[in-house]
Amino acid sequence: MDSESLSVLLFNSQEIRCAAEVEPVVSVTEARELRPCSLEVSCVVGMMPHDQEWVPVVDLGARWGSGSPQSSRSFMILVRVRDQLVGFLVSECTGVVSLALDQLFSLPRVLAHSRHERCVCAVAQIDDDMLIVIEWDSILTPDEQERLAKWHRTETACTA
Amino acid sequence: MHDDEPMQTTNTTQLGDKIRRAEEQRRSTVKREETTVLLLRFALGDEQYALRAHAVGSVEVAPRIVQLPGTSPFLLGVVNLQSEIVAVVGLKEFLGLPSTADSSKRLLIVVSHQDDKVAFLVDEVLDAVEVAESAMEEPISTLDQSQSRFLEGETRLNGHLVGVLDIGVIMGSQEMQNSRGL
Repeated sequence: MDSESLSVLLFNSQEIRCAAEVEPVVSVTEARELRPCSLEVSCVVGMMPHDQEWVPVVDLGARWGSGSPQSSRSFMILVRVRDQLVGFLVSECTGVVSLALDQLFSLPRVLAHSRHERCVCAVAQIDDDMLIVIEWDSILTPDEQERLAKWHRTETACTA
Repeated sequence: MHDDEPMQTTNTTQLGDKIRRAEEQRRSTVKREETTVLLLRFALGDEQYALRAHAVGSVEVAPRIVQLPGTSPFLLGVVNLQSEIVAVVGLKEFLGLPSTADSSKRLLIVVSHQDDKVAFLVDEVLDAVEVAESAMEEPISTLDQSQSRFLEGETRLNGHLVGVLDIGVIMGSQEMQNSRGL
C-alpha cells in the first residue's frame, strides 16, 4: 500500500456513511442468524461460528444509539481487533477505495470530544461525497475489550 | 430589499464584504447620537431571530450534511466549506422549536466564536438590519426559560418580534459543553 494513502472499506450503518481501514478486515459476508452470547456488552447482539471459534457480533447501529431494528443490518464485517475476531453488523457494504491523505480532514474542535469521537478519526472527501472514517480498535471501549478478551479465554471452542 | 423578502444567498466573500462595508461606513459617519448594531435576521419556522452580524462569517446554501454517531440531537453533523470541516448546529433543535417539513431551502449561517467555528442551520435568511441599541429590550418574561437564556434581547422589526441570539451564551452553554463530552 502506498504510504501516502489509506485503503478503506466503505459501508453504511443506517444513515451514517463510514469508511474504515481494510487491512484488519477478514471477510465481508451477508448477515447470518446469530446464537445468544454470554458476553455482557450492550452492543453485542450474539455470536457466530468462524474457523472453529465463536466470534462475538457487535451491532454498529446499537453501538451508536440508532434505534431501528437489527434486521435492517444486512452485512457482517469480520475484523481482527487487537488479536480478537469481532463481527460488525452494518446495513450495507459498498466497496473498497484508496484514500489519499489530502482527502482526509480532522473533526472540528466543537465535536472533538463527542461521545463516539474516539472511534471517528476523520472525515473523508470522495469526489462530491463525504463520509466518516472510523477506527475498528476504538469502537469498543477499553473495558469492553478487556471483557471480550476474558470471554475469549473462557469460551470453549466452537463445535458448530 | 423589502423587509420580509428573503435575502439572496451570496457567497462567503460577497456577504462578508457587504457586512464589512456597512460597518466601515457606520464607523466613518459623523458621530451619531445613538449606538447601533448590525443584525443578521433569519427565520426558524414562523419565528424570527437575529445574530450580531460581526460574528457572521458567511451564509451558505447547506450542502449535504454528514451525520456523525453519538452526538447531541442538535449537532446535525459536519459539512465541508471550502475545504474546512465545520460542525452544523440545528438551531431549531437547539432552541427546542418544532421542526418544519420543508427543508429544501435550508441555509447555513457560519459563525466564529473564539477558536470555534460552527454553522447554524436556519430556514431562511431575511436581511441585515441596523438597529439602535436602545431598541433592544430584555426578552419577554413569557418566553420559556430554556429559550430565553440564549437571547441577549429582543427587538421589533416591521411588526415582527425578533429574538437576538447571544452567540457567546450558545457556544458556552451546558448543551454545547455536553455535546463535547466535557
